[in-house]
Amino acid sequence: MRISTSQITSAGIRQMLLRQAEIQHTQLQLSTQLRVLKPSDDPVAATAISALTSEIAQLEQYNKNGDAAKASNALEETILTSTNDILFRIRELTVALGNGSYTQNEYNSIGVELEESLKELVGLANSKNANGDYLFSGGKVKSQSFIQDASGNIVYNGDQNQRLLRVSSGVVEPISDSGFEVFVDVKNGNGKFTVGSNSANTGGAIIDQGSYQAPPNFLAESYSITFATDASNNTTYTVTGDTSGTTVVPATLYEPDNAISFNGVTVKVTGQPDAGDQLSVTPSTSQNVFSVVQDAIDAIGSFSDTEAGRAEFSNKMTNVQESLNRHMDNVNIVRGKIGGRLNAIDTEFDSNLSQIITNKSSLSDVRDLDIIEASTRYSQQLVVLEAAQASFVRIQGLNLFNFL
Amino acid sequence: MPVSIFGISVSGMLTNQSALDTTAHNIANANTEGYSRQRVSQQQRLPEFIGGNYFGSGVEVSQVKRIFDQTHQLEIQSATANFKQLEAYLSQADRVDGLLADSQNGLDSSLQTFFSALSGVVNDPASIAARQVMLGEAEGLVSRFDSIHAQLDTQVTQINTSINSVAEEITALGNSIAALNNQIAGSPGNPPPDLLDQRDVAVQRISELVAVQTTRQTDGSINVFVGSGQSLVVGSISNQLVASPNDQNPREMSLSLVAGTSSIDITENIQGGQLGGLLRVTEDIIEPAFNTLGRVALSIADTFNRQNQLGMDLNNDLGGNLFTDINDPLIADSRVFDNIGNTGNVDLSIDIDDPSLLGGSDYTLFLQGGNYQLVDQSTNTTVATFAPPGVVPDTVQLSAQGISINFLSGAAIDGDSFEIQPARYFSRDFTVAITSAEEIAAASPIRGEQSLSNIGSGAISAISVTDTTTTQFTNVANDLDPPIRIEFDAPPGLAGEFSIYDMSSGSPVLLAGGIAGYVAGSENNMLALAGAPYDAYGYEITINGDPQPGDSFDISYNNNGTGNNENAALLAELQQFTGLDNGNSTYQQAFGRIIGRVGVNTQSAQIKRDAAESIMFQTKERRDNLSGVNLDEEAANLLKFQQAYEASAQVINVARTLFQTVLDSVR
Repeated sequence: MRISTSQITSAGIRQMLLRQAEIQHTQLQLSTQLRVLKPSDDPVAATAISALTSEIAQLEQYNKNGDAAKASNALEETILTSTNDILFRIRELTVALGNGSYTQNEYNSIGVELEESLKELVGLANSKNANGDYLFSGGKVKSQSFIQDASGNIVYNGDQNQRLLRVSSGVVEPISDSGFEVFVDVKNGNGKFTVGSNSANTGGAIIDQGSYQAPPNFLAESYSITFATDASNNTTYTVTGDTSGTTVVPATLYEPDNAISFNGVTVKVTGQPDAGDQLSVTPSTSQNVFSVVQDAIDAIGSFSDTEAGRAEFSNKMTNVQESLNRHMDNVNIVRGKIGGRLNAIDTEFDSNLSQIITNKSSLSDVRDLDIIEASTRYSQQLVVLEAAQASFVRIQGLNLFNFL
Repeated sequence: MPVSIFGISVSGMLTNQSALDTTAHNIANANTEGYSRQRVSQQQRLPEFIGGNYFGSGVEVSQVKRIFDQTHQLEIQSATANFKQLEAYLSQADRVDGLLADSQNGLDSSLQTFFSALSGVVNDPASIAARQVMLGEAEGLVSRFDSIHAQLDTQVTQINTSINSVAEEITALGNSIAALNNQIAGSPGNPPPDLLDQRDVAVQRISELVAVQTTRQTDGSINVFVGSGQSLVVGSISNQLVASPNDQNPREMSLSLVAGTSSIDITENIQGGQLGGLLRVTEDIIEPAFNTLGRVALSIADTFNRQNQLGMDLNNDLGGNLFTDINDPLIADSRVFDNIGNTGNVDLSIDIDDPSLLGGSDYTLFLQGGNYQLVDQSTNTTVATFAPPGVVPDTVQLSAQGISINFLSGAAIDGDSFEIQPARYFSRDFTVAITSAEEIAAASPIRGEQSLSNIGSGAISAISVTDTTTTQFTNVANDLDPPIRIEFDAPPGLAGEFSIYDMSSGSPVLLAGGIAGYVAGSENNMLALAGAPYDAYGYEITINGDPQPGDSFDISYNNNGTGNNENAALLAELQQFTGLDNGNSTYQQAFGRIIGRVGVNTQSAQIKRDAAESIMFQTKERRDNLSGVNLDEEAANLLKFQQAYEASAQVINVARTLFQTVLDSVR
């Protein structure tokens, strides 16, 4: 076959250019360690790379959220641990108050310690985080969580919002608890009702915290237990519904330590009431922990050292202790929830991490370069280029004119 | 001696000299592009009849011809047109490929950092610093869209400039072919080989720019046609190929053949060559990239604006637009182009109703026979037909396309047409609408609280805000009108029923009572149970559990609820929201699809280009095999003709000796 001289040149150059382009591509792959440099190198892989990269970034974001969620919950947990310690001390003090043999002075000194504990407790409930936001104000993080209202009561100033943060594609975890949930939303007394005595009582009737059996689930109204003396000079009691005015238990002979039962309520009354004395059973309402402690302090303040006064003080303490127990339970429930959240966050964190690892390895499979293969290819391509160059020079040197 | 020995040898010398000249010409043109080697055809002169015999009378040149095969030339023309089209396509596609995929500059990473910053706000909604970071990343995202748009736009401008200069070059080449035709047709004798070569080179050069067909005329000239048989060159007359902005869409170029005063639009018929590649790549890759980019930006702006409007910002105000309003009148107006030839005065604008329905198509709207027709340009089908509105302003909603056409003023006249590009420019128009970080509406505007005195286990399990443009939100700034209380009826009302109270003054005012339908222990949408008008307040309150008679729940405006992150969380969820491609793709997936599409197109162009290149190379090889100059061959020819020349010269010497002998004998 006949070939032209320019063909020899152009074919030789073309081959060398092609080889150089291949070498350049391999060199770029080697220097970036990537197999796919542009989407057009492998469009299927490019789509997968894009999907995997954003999936990994998303999971890493979830784990950043997880870290933040852990930090918030851990901070709350620390504060609730201290809260629990103080509540524990307060309960010890109220138990001591129940000791009927204390003198006024001893009551007063316990009162002083209670006031200090109350301040400490309010301080904890008004804790701030690193940004200066109140931890227990719900959504109103810039408002102090608990403030004193006009009448000197400590009241909740936040709202009932709870912040949530997504820690994995399927799981959202709370990162805050409102002060309402932690310190306020606890029913006082035994959770169904509180007990009390009329301050005008002259006798020494003491009522216990009692118990309640459903149904119905809730007390319909508050009740008064009124004592009287019957014709044979025996003490009797009558139970009346305060709202409805209905007599629930008609006049019944009173015997100390015997249970009084009506409408699911069972209470035990001890001591000797005078005629006209009244005890009350009131449906529980939410009472914040500060107000419970304040009740104890107030009771010390109004303590009078008479039989009736000691009975009234004891009745008040019954409520305070019951309410405190329930508040301590509540704080522990919240701590339990926080523990559960921390566990869940850890689990999700690990699961995200293992997904990240899986995705990264898939990403590496589709995107990364097989270095050994590429460097072998690189040296082969170099050999081929060198051969093409050498042969080109030799062929160019062959020319009949050299011999003329 | 009737036949002159001198005459014969002189003819041999002259003939071989011209063969030597031609060989020298071949050697000189060994590297000339498109040169076909030439050969001198030698033939005997007419013999002389003397004494009953014919005596040879020497040699003469019959023809100087080029060694050439027309089929090779045609092959090269079509292979060149094909290769150049793919090469032009590929080099532009490569740019888009690199632009979209760049991990530093691509859209993916900006979207991801934006959502990460948003997560920071979800985590700490009251923090100005976190909000500032999110605002900064939003700016970054917007400028990423803008810069990709700008780069694509620059590319379009460059392509349009190239189309212009290519058209001019084609016209110039047409002129030179016509001139060569003139010379070739007018030259006496055999057609001059060098002019034929030059003309073939010109045709081949045109083929690099656009695919052409050629036909050979009897007078040796050729006619050149582009497109589907429109003549660029006829004999010695050439027409002009003119590129000008499209009447309908000034961003696109139209190509027309101008002959005297008549002009034919041949844009649709252009095939092959650089011109074909440039037109094709705009249609296949660049315009879809613009539209996809615009659709993603539209979807982000629309979803974020809607969600931000459902929240409350750090100033206790209802949220506004985070990004540009997608139906800003100026932007809506820029989506329509009037055809230059329109005679009516109708003023149109386009609103986007649902970005998820945008398919990435542009539309042509035209008035014909009294009805408007909307044609989808990608499928070339009429998707809607409607009568012009009786009075303007009026709006025609095209729910399947997700757009509305606003007829602002005036009226069109039959034959008027309009280009509608819903998404083309939004990646450029997309900006951040807020200036201070406080305006990010991270909080829910609704606060729900259970009353302290509640004794039942009922609790608000969810508050969702669906519309903040209701009078309940708008009547009183930073407050609900009215704030309400939901209270479960105590006897004498029936237990299990509830009432709604207006709490705007200190004492509750009953709005509706005795509402039944509450189911303990399941999710109850309270305002839906209450029915009209409460179910249209723009928010929903869900209560679960077992509330007791007298239990109440207060719903108020979330003043100072700066730590509330509910709306920010909903904004963050938008990353997973499939609001594109008919509800099938997230923002990132929709963008990923264009990366995939460009990748596939670029890859297939790469493969086709390589194949076309090797085909073109092979056809050139075939041509060079036949027509190219081989220097060794010419060197051998040089020797051959030199020897023949020398031999003829020697014959003269012999003849001189013969005559000398005769002369000497008579001296």
